Amino acid sequence: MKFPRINTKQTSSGWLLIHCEQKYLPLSSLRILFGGGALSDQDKGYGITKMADQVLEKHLRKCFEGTRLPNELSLVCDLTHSTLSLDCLSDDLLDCMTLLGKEIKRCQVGNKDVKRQQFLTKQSINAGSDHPDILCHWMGRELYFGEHHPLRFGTGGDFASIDKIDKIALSESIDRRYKKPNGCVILVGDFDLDAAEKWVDNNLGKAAPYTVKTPPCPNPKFGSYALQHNGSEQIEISIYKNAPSRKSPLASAATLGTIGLGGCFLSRLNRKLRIESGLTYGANASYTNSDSDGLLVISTSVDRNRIGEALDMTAQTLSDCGQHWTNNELQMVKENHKNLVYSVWETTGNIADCLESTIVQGLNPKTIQHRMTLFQQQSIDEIEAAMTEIASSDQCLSLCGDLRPIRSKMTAMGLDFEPYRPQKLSPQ
Amino acid sequence: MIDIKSKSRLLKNGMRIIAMPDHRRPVVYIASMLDVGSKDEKIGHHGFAHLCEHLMFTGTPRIPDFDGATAIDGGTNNAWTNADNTCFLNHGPPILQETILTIEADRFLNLPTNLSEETFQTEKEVVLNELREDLDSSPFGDLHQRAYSALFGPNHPYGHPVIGKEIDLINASREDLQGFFKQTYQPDKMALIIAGDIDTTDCLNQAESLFAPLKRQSDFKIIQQKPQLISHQKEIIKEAVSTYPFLEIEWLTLGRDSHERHAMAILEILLGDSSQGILMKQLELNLELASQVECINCSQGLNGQLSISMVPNSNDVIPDIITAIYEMIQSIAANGVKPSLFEMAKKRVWLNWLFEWERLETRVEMALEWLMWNDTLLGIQEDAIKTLSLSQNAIQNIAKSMLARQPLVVKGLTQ
Repeated sequence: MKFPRINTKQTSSGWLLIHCEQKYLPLSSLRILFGGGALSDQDKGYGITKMADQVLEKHLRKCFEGTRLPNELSLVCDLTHSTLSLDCLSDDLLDCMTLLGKEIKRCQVGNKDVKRQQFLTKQSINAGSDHPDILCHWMGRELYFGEHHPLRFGTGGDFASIDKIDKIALSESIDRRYKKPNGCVILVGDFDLDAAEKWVDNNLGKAAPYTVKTPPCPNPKFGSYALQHNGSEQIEISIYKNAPSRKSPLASAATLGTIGLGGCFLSRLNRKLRIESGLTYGANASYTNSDSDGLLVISTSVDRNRIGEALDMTAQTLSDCGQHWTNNELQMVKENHKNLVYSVWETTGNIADCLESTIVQGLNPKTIQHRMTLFQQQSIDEIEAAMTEIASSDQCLSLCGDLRPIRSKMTAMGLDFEPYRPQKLSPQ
Repeated sequence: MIDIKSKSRLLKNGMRIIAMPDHRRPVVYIASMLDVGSKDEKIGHHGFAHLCEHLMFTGTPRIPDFDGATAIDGGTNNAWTNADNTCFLNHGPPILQETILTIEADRFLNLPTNLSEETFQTEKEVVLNELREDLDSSPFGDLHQRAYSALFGPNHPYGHPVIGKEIDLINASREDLQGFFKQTYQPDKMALIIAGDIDTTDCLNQAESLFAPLKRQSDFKIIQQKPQLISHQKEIIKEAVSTYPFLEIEWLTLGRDSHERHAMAILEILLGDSSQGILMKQLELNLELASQVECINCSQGLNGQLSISMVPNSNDVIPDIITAIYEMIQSIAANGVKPSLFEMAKKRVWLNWLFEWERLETRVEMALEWLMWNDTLLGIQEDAIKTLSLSQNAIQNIAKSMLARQPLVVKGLTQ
């Protein structure tokens, strides 16, 4: 495939501007990456960055009132950065950007904003605890990352930290990250480059170059834990395991190996658990990494009455995941990976998102095609080595569901799970 | 206007095949849609259309591993079922075009007679897992399933959930499903699209030779119900151990072929747009009574639905929210909305259409859905643009008519 041409430019105010022309439809996408994400919450209080972004997002949405400018707008807080995303008709792009540029600087935080946002954040934490799949995921994260890691609950914080957030903290967070920013701008679609560059210089202020941050290492509490959730028909299973870091020579092989383990319909887990035995609607494996570490997560939801069978099958598949790779499997995962890359190079929004994640990972956006070649060069030996490393690492195994009716059956099968005490998950 | 390139062919068995070239990426999409959905299920067989869709992936004696036949070369397959239609999607690199067409034709020709009991039972278990996951997904999971019958009435073709009823699925036999398949999967109720990096004539010829042997097997006809606009029940309520309540108000609307479809699409934006929607603004920002306010207009064949859903702050504010919604609709009926908001909403409908058209997969689905109601693709773009010419009167009339219709109020209350 011929990838669209990606260009980069340093604007006179210091912003990195990445642009890609696409004229198939009259649509354009803008992404602005602002450095300084929720990692800094560790010192200042969990949840501040995300809440500040929610206040700003609301302000920015409101400013479109009375305009004839339809758009998709969001401001998403991540651990290392926040991303402002806008997708709109190409004819409206400059007007939308002008409005955003003006309003980012004008956002003021009121006491009412703080109260409302505190209420909504608590509501969303509470809502998660009603869903066994989310609870299981939270449990896995808390066990794997440890209580004091910023990724323990993602970026939202918990009840105790949210209550401490005030107007001053939110204003300081917005001023620090949006009024004296470091970052980069991505534009994809049909746009006037000179006008866009002028807009960046006139509206976003002087910026330091975007710097990639690395989150701290996790502090896992390995073992097997179970959380009772009354009334659930299914049992949720999640497994968290150490995996190669982004800098490891096995990172590309681990990406492909994960597709073969649980990243596609014909992966080993899906073949065993779904296609051959009907134990689940689907099983999934995902692999993420940073410069310092990597993580493999397996998740599935299974019939409560067949939990023993499901756990055995999952454990066996996982323990064998570094062995017996066939040429067919290798070809399947490589083709699957190629398709994933093609699928993100389609819409203006997808391309912009892909460029954004490239920057977040500290990679050069012009080398996407080259990196794809690296994946295609992986061998069976490399995949088996990566997956053997993952298989042999310790794990945090979490179960969540209505375990009471099957407790005695589980004990008889020798399935020992330490009851999980959800102090952090149940803020009341 | 976008230049929509397509070529079509009508087979003798009534099946339509359309080629839509797009050479920007080395990918082909081959998708088929049938005018078969949960609307076609009789009592006691609820969930059969969806289960049938699952069984289509279980292989035939000629091609025992349907997914495996293309996965090695980068092919992927998926499918979905709704009340009206069943859709099968396959995609992969261009070298897979012939393979995908071959396995797609093979399963339509050979699957029903060759389904083994073991395969059938395993796939039934998969679907039962899916159903239970749905129920587990929220403390009000079963409330969503009950809402179908409360809104449309138990005897309406849409009066039951697409995924079906657990008891019907448990009792379903392989012969029942084979019967459903033979009765409903008819070539004249089917359209096939081949899109992407294709040679138009070549792929039409290939598809014609592979799908021509499909024969009509019965004269099954859907019993069309007279559209209704008053919901079957006024209200359904569930109290549950939940940390948050839930509220949904659902209005029945006329079906896909009706005059009000375009106006409903604008009303959906006027009320629920995330930046400028008046309902969102009033309930989330001004009154601060609720969060996650959404308005969704679902334009189905026989009857549509306009649903407003949200998470209220508490059980206590639900009456205030309902009053606020009625006041808003009354205001639109009497005075319309600000001209700038109206213009924005019309443009937004067009923007959403472009977003969907931009992705080849959703473009194929849009085209197939269009073909379920039209003989050819002619007019698909003009239909979307029609929205831009509507006046405020159309919106006021819709709002007036909604005030006269009894909606269904679905309340999920915290204990």
